[in-house]
Amino acid sequence: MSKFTKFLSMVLVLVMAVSLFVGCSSGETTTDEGAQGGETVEKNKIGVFVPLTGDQQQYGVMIKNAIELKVKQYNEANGTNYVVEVFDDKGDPKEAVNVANLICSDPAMICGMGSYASSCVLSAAPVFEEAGLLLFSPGASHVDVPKAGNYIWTYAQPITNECKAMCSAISEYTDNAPLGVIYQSTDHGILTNDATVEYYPTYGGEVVASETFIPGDTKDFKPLLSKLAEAGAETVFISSTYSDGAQIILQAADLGLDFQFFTNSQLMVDSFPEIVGDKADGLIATSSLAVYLQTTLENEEAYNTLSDAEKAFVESFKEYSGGDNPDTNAVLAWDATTILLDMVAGVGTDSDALVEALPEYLLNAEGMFCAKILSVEDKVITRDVTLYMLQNGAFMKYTL
Amino acid sequence: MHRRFIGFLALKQKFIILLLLVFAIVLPFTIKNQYIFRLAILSLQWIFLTQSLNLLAGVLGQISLGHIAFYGIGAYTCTILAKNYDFPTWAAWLAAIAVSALFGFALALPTLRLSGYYLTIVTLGFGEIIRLIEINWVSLTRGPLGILNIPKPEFFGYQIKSNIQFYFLMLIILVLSTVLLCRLVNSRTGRAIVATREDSIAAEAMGINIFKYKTMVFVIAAAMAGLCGAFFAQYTNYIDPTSFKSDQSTLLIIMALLGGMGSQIGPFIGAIVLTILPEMIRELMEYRMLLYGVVLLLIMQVRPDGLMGGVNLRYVRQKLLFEKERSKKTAEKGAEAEL
Amino acid sequence: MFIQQLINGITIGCNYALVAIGFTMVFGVLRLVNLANGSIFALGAFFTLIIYTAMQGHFLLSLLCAILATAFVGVMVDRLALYRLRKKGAARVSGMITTLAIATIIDNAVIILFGSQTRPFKRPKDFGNILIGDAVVGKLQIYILLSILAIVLILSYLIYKTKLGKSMLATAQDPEAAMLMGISVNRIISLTFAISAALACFAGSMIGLYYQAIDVTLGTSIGMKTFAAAVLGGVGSIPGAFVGGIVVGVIETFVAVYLSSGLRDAIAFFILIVVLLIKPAGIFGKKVVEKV
Repeated sequence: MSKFTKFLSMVLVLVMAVSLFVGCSSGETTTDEGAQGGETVEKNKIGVFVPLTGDQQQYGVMIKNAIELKVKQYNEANGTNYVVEVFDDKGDPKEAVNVANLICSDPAMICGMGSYASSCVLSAAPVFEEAGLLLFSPGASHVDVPKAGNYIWTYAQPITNECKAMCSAISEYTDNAPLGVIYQSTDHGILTNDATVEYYPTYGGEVVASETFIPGDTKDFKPLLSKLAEAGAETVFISSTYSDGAQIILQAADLGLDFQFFTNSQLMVDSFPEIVGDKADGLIATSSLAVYLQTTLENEEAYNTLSDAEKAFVESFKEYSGGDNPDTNAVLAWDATTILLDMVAGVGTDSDALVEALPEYLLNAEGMFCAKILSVEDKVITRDVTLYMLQNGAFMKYTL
Repeated sequence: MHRRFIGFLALKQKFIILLLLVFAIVLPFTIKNQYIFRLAILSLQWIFLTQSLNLLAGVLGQISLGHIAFYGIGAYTCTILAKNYDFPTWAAWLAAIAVSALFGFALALPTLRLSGYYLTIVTLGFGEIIRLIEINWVSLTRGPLGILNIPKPEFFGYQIKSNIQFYFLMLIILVLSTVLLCRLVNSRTGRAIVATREDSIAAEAMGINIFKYKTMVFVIAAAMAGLCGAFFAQYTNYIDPTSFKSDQSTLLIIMALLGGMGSQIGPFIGAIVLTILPEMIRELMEYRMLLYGVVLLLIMQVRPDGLMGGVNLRYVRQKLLFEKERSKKTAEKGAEAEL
Repeated sequence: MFIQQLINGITIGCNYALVAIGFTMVFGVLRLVNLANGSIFALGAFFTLIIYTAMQGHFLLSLLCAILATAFVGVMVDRLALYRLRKKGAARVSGMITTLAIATIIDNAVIILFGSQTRPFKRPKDFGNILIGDAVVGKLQIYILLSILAIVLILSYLIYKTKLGKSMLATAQDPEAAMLMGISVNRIISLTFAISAALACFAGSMIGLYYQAIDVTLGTSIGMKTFAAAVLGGVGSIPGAFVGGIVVGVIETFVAVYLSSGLRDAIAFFILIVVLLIKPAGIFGKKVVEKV
């Protein structure tokens, strides 16, 4: 072999020898220096990681604005100096791990908050768990999140609980009509479908068809809708983004299909009524969160059901974000931040203390905009659920 | 100036490599920050992955726009076997390499009938199909739900779980691959592959079995990417199909192009620059993808083969040494003549 | 239901065909895979929406302006990025990667400028449906189908019957010989890009109209599948793109209905690979002999 290759081979042997030596001797020690080290640094930062680029950007920006605004108002009211540091995880689980490492290696961090997609939260979880730093996600609803570690908490209730309430509502409203499900092929959609298929029969109904699609790859739902009609569905439950949901409803109207549509809070976004116009009237949505859509606010009746605190929140958010109303992600983030700041004021910045205190603070939280938390068991939250019906382009609260 | 730099590189190769190696070995002991550690490990991993694409796209000249698919196949194979069937690490990794290689072989088969251009489109389709299979075959891959709690690698009872251990594991793999690739490229096989790239008809006329060499390259490139996927899966805790989308393939192409197609140094430059630079410009995060596009565009305009593309360091070194010899001889002759 | 699904399939296919025609034109004349086609298509749709909203009415006029604007962008892409490569005699693959870069730039520029929310695209009026037996067909769908047929006819006439078209064919066959014959090759190429971009804009606007909403993923969701359509029909052949689009749309729909809805997206790529393996020239394409 050539001289050069001989040289390279020697290099290889050298590297292997060194790494063997190093690996064996340092095998047991971890070289983490998480946020728990360096007690002399004052902890006043909240590490927020959300998608700020890519197609989930709109949701990430909402979460970021809500947290920043809440911290700003809290600082002004209480003279504290909490700082929010925002990181872009691009909606990519690999990137989420990167930013999680960034957050955990900063000793001034009190905790991490993020992300929009549950997959990002799940992949970042081990980093926080190992560093012993609290990860308080505002809206991750994947059922595995509470199981990901002692320091991993989410403020949202898991999909399964919301689905149960949804199935009960469908059963009552439609008198157990045959149900078809259209769901997006994401973790959220799949779990929603699984839960619906499981719970609807327990209320006496039948799920006649479940159709999935890959979000971003599909724009045409007519084949799926015709399929549902053929299977005999009279009611359809949609689990998708508002963009796809709008398409589904519009295309059903195009086909002349007359389904009663149900959905969850994903469709309760300002842009939704803009796209569907009046074709979606009669749609019923469940939400365990507050809804502040432009159309709702413009409706005098709906506006007057809001408390003063809510009105103030909406106003200040609109101003801070440059004209956007807070969406469900923003509301979750706002509430979660409120609870966090109250907790820190009460028990300090140590993650272990915070984790201990969370269940108590969650149950006793006052003035939250999301629906009341009914129970916290094994870090899993159960909340009340409200029904909304879309009428004349506005989501109005609805009681069966 | 560029020429002088290349000349410098060519003449001082051994010294530079030694220096870099010492740096690479010492580095993990100086890092205390987990985040930077992860960047280092990711850089090594991307270098390795870019090397595999470089072999295919640079040395063989077959651009593949779906290369990340092999990475995904390796990752999922290793994960499923290690987690659900309790395969020991070496077996899981071997399986990952084998399955990826198999797919690489399958992708090479069309080369019998298709020229490079059409094959590139096939690779694009291939990448998408693999991604869609990953999403849809829920019973195997759990689809969008992803697989959580992937076990850490273990070799002969020795568990790899700290950052420093992962770092050295990847470093060994990388050095090994670099050595082997250098040997391959400078061997008869390597020259056959380059001949296939330059002019496949002439190569065939010279008796080179181009199908055999094309297949070989596909299989090796796929196997490397599969191994990298296996490493990645056990390094992070969680994989799901979104990690293996086509924009990652695009990023790989940019890395390979930036460094220089066909050059052995290329992957190092491309991967390190494109892993570290985005982290340094986090403030411009919104414009990151836009900048990537602009960078790619500029590369194609100014130097389509990349920074080190088309640079044969061996040749440069020989030429420079020869010139030195010659100028020395003429100086001696001149000195003699004067006497 | 079969008829309804067939109609659904043809509708989807029409959308693919619309986009595939522009793509296949560029390949036909330049032998270049234009990966930026999907992005220009989305850009065109946004242009139409912006101008239409600004003008508050006059849909056709807005469409015309948007088409001109997009055509301009197409020409710029050629002048600024691809012209240099042609002069240098760079490999074809460089062109393809350059279009990939352009696609990335345009996609992200659109997100930065317009945000990632979905925007409503109001139909200027309600077109209504007609019934074929049990199946419902929207009048808009019929108009789109007719417009595609018109485009195919006009372009075919342009390319095969006019002198300009012959210049394009000559350029496709052998740019050097064409130059020697006095054809301004660079102008022809710019024109091809302009037409392709204009077609993309028209397609984007029609699709936006049909779906009543546009968002940044418009290009990527459809873009990949139009490859399959163009290749199936024969890259370079305009009637081929039309037929290919319809076939892909119909097959995709029937796979979704009778096999599994999850597989519907994979089938387009599957078709792509199968066609390339069995008959790379596609249905209407001519086998190109690579001269040594």
